Amino acid sequence: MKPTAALLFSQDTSFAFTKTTEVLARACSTLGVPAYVRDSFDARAIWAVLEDVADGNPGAVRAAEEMIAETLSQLMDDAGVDCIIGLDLCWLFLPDLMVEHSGIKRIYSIWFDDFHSWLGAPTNRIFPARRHTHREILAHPRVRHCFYGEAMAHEAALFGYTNQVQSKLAAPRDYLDRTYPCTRRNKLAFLGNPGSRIPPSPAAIEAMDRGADLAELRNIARAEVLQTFHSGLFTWAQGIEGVIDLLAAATAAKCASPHISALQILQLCLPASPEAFEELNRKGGIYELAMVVKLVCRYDRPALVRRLYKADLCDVYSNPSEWSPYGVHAADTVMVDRLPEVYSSYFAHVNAANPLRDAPANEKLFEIAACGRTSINLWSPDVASCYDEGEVCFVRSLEEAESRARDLLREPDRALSLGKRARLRTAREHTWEHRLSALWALDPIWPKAPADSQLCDSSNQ
Amino acid sequence: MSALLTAEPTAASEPASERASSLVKPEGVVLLTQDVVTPAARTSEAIAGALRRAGIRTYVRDTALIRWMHDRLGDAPERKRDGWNLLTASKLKILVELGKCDTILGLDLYWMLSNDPFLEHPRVRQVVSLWYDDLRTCCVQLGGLGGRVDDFQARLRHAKVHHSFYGRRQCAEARSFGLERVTRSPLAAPAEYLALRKVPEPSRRRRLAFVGGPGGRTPPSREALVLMQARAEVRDLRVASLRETLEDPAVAQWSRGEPTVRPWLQAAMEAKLEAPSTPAVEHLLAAGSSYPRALAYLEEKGEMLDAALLVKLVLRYDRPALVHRLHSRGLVDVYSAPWFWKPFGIESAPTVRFPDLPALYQSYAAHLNAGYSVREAVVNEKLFEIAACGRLSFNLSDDEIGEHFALGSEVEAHATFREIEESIRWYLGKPESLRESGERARERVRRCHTWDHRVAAVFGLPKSWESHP
Repeated sequence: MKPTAALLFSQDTSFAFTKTTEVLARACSTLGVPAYVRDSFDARAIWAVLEDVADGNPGAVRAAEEMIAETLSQLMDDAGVDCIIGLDLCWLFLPDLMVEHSGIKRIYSIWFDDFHSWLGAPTNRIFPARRHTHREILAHPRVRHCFYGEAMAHEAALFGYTNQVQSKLAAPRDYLDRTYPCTRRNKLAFLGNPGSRIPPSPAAIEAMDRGADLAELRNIARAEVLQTFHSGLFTWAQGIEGVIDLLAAATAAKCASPHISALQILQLCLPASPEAFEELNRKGGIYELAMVVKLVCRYDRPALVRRLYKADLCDVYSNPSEWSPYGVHAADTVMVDRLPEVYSSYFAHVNAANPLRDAPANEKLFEIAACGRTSINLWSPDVASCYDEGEVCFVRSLEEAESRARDLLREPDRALSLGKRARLRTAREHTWEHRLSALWALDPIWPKAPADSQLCDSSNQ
Repeated sequence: MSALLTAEPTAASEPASERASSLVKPEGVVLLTQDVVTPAARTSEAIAGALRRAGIRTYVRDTALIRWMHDRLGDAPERKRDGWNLLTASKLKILVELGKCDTILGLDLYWMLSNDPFLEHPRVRQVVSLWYDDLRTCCVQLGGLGGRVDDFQARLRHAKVHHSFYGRRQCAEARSFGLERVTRSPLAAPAEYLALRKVPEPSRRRRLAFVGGPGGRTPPSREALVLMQARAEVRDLRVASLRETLEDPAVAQWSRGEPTVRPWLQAAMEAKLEAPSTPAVEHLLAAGSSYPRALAYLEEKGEMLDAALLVKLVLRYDRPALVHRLHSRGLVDVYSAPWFWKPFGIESAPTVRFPDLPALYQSYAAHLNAGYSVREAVVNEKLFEIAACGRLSFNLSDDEIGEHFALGSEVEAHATFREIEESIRWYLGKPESLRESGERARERVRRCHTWDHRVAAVFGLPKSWESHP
């Protein structure tokens, strides 16, 4: 049915993590599971600091491990914690502590980011003695990787992490109860950054200016990727014959099938250069290559937003400096506590995924809907599995997106009725309480759930 | 002995009110805890729950690792130490900024980090120390870190810092040592306990439970143990403790510097014996009029807190002797770390994990409760938790208990061990009276003593607040 108590690991230096972790903790409490939130940043960063200090004093590292283990073990023991929940791998800093602790039955990694980005970040350090075992830990039967996109899940499976389950992101339940007036009926809004931080090329901007659509922009991005390869910037590929053939085939395939995961595409393109694939795989370069393949779609999000912004149909909120290379003047980032108010103040929104994650059904999709507003989305199987047309709007091109935005602007009340339906669907299926209940119901380690679920249908709102 | 606080011998001012008028409703709270001291973690979570129910965004964070690492880096290159301090302080600043937290709460002094991220932060309007332990113990525990916190005393007295103590005597002590913005806010019970409705287990209807250690880790003297075995009364044990405490090496050391220290301390301890409800520091100040040189000597050394501790120790056997007497009569089961009780000849059941506490409270028909002499505050968390679970508790008399519960109706409090034992025996023969008293205690907690009430009172939130009996 459910765990006895959950320990959730957060990451205070990245506030989206903190927000979602706190929401997950509230969901645990609603479901009757005491939840303890702790930031694991210190535990992950401590090794980076100790590395120099530990020269000639390896005992310092061991002592740090013992200290962390003592602190957390005591909390786990005394609070009866049997379930660990961490966004991405926030729990991985001292893996043995989690997987070998007798009280812990399950560790849920709720993936936000991708393996490559997480493991490559300088502060996400695993204690040195454990580094060589991290693959076994990630594949440990107590660990359950929860992926919100099919492509993400597939990618992880190809890396050998089959201890996984697909579990979509969701909305905070309390958003369903909040009511704010819709004060802006003359524009849509987009909340978020452009995705990739690589600035756009002049060719891409020129194409966007003349109204180029997704297919052309993806081809431009592909050409840029191949050009970068030839310039030798991809050092991980140096000395490996045939990588360019593999990359050319994979990026072409990604242009044609953007909803297939980059890694799956690479596997399909393996005949183009099997030796290169094998060597890259052996050296761990497949992560990098997959990331490069994903870059083919890097203009999808900024081009969609830019087009609507330039047509004076959309306000943009984010870190202004990230949008300035696109000629978009963004308003400042909306703080977490104001999100529902800002979502509600617009009659409809634009939503687009970060292509680097290969998973389009992002958190905003659910949050906008929970606030009773509809969103325009590029069609994808992931988003279509969460909401139907009539709750959100699906488009397959930038031109269609502009046209739908104008339609909605002409009939804002109709847009609001779509939003109402999206909210009802969210109340029925897409809160974090639903996700946790479903995860726990799947696991035979927790007693079976009784027929009368503790979740309430909020469809009367 | 520590010399962390310099005594400022101002007399204790008027009794603290329940509410610190200058505290405002928080927009968001960072609540700093210490997971290696689990009661702190448990209470932090209970307070966080109450804040969240009041609509206040609250983030609980543990600081154990930050402190440990700081100490560990003591001999490391300055660059490394600064790097760690910067890293951890930056992280907390980010939480304050993006979480829009204007209030920092820390049990005891867990908010005080060597590289302070809070006091000068423009977003932070108020920092509240919710004192759990006593002033001296906290100062000594933080000594490792405090030794490197050059402005330790200035931070304690910073204009943004408020101190909330749960006992009247703690407040008096803090004020007499120059702390400002001191208010009194009693401990409380988690609201969730109120909903539990289990009847006592049949095998536990003729016995009470005592959950806790003997208070302090110093083993009892042979004389004290003999007195306990002879079922001596509370006053006899206090007299024995007074004699032992006067032989403390610190007394001899101080006396070498100022010969009147010993008679001064003896006078204060004897006063404590007669008036145990009066704060130790007040006894010291009062006795100081007869021994002004001794008082001045300890003030100058900045060791008044250490002297106050010795005076408090006059009551150190109250708790273990009461438990010992009732346990030896087969009236009380004891739950705690067994090695704490072993020197007293008591076989204790293992410590109760905090999620299991309410179930344990409910499994017995009644409980024994006793304060910890060093904290000089008998109105501990257990008093409220037992009541919240609908159970009657038996206590040694103290004037502060009656401020929170109706004596003889919601809790029992008696001046001697014998009276407590008689009262327990009487109640155990009348299970219906026991049940009714427990329910009245629970009702009192529901109306006045959950953490939700405390949060509302401390921050002046609009909430019904019924008067005490």
